[in-house]
Amino acid sequence: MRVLVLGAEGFVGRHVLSALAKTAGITAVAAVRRKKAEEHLVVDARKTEQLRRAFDGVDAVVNCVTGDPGTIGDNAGALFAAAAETGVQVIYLSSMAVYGSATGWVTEDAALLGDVGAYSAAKVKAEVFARACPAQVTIFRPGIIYGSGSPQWTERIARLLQARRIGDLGMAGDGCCNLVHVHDLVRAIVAALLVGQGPRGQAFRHRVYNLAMPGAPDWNWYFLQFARALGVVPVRRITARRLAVETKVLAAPLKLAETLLDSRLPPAIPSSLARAWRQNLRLDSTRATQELSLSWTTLSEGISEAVAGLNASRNVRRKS
Amino acid sequence: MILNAQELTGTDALRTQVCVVGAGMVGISMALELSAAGLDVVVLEAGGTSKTEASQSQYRGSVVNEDLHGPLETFRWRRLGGTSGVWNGRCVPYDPIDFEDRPWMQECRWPIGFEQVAPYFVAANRYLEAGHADYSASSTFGPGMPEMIEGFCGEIFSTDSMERFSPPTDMGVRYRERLASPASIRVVLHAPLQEIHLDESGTRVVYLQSRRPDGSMFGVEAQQVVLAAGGLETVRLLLANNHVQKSGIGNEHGVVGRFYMSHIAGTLGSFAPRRQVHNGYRQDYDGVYCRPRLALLPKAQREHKVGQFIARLHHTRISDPAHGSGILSALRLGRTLVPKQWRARLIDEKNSAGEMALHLWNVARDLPEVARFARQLVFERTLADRKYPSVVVKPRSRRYSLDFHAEQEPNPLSVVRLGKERDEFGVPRLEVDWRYTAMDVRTIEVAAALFAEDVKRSEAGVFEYVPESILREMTRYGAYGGHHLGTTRMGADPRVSVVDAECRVHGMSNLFVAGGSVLATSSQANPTLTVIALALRLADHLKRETA
Repeated sequence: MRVLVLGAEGFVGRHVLSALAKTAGITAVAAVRRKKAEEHLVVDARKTEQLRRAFDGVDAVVNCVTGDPGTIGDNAGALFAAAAETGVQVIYLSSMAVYGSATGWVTEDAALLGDVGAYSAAKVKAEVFARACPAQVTIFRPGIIYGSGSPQWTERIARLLQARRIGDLGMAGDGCCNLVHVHDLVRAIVAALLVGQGPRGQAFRHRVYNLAMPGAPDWNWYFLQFARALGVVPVRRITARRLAVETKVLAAPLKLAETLLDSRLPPAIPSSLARAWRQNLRLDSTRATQELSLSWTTLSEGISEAVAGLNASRNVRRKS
Repeated sequence: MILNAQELTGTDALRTQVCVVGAGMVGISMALELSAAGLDVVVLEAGGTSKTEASQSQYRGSVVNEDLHGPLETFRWRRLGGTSGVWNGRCVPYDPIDFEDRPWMQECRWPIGFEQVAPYFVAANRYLEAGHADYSASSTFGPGMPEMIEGFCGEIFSTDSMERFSPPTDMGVRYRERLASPASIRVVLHAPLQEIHLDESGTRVVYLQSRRPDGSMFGVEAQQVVLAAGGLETVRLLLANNHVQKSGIGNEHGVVGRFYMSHIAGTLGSFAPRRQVHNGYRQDYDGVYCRPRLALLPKAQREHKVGQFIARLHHTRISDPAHGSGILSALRLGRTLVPKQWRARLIDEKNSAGEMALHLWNVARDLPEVARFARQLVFERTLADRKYPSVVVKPRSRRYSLDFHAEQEPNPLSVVRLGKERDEFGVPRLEVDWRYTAMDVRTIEVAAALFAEDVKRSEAGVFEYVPESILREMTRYGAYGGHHLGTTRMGADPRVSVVDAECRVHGMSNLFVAGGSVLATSSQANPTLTVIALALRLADHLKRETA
């Protein structure tokens, strides 16, 4: 089985690629925007024509492309148009953001509100394209993807913890942190590819799975355990006043500096992020657990892996 | 959701599975727990979102001996979040020995064992934001931690016991959003419970009536009712509702309001350690402040037939400039900056002009320390959410006093009852007759002597005290403020208890009590943590029992 990985140089794409390489019966092809290695196939994942050519001789495609809302929309439009023409099976990484401001337990059948910013709206739009596609489509809606190399939920959080800008947030960290370790996400993708192959798997056209660890902690607990593993203790209690300064005063200039200058600048805490830390949406992943026979990485295992990854990349930077 | 009673305009009663009376620490934690399990809860709160003079005045009552007990409107806040607004945050669990039969004290008996409460300390710590339910200093901080008293190998006292501190959590603020969002919780503010209607047999609550601010009533019909109004107000509700059960609900044997306990606390003697002492705070990884203390070991309690006793090493009297501490002298000089409720306890004596000069001298020669302290006060207390709990100084004199907190023997003659005065709605106000027993005095006498013996044997220092001063010191401030315990105590025998092992009022099918009033004994521990643990245990029971 030949599997094309779009966005193969990204955080999730790299993990998917290396897992597929180890999976018997699967030949993985890495498609990237900018060529960095000999075996890379250069594809602009926003162009239907280029995707159609890349899908030639391919059985399935795993779409790990991400970017700004515009890119997400263009990518989904082109992807599902090309899939419709070629009939290739698609595994699409959506996001829990499609549920928007929902609270409480959320299953795959919940309404797609997409009302928490342009990113969530773009993901809903992408799923509309997916739904209209006649080819086989598997949509994953992962929660907070963490693990070594996760820029948002491991690296950024680690830097914020190390700078003591976050910690114990009190009521501002009471929201549910729907963690999914990147290894679990990758296992789900591989399982979907393999299950999709079997005679029983042929029956589906579209399927959707939430992905978050069972018994997901609240954000405070994630921050506390992560800080403990990083050794940035004792963890500080962050006052509401301080968090307001972060979101209302510091966030805009930091975000601007990050866009203009360098990503190594201190990360911003935009109010959308602070809002997510309060949101009590609980992703129900029963369906994925059962149909894809998933087993889940525990929080302590996941955090150990993430911290080991951080230490390794720090050593690499120090040497170079 | 959070409602105001005045907004409830309909004539139909609110129907719910569980009605909790009182939105204090107990009521809030129970409501959150029950709603998380899918139950529908109504919480009736007498006050609003903040403490007001008018609402507090509803708590007024009379006290038989005003030297021994504070006014009834202090140390309890009638508002969402209850008394957590004035709580200092100390969390300590009851010990296994508390739940054992201790025949050397009267009525020291529980119908449940420590192991039935222990599992709930985990969640209780979480609600109170006090970190892990681990109260051993060595297991929390590992073997590298400095000893509390260097060189002390106590055979009678342990220094491994530790107290943890909540930020302190003001439940009305911290959990307001979590109470407001789910549809399964309805907190009704300004809704004091007025009437508890029983069925004809007097064994079942059929109907509750609360009063709106305009004086009109609204009803609540619940499958289960939990009184969580605090150790004083719960007594008032049970006794004042005497239409069907003539002596008051659950009061067939006259036990409601009896066995009223607080704690015996005070400052005693002078300890001169031979080496260093480490009596201050240490933060756990999650930022929780922890402090070591001396605890009288269970085997010594059994051998000497006394109650529970713990002590912290404390600076000596602030007013006495002989301590040599610039920080303490600065507190004396800036007395008015110290919060009122502590001022009386901390700085209680007048100083002569000469002593004031010595205080000034202490400050002058200790200026860097005073500045560091002032900085800590501002950044780690005033501006911080997790507050540095109290003043800990290393006195120049290297002398410490024992700041003790000890158990009170359950005593049927220590009573909370209805007084002659009535409030404007015709409900009798309370009258409190708090008492201590000879055993309470003995516990402190014996513990002080044993501590002197223990430090002498291990050559860790010298503890000197005047045995004759014990009674004066332990009653100097009377009953420890805010600990209203035992007034609806738990027990198997209705002749000496009010609620059973499940916190159900004896003889009632659907009326429960949660709070400090169900504690059958008072322990050495500040009660909050154990009270919450017992409330969560009751919540578990209600989850099973409520279809």
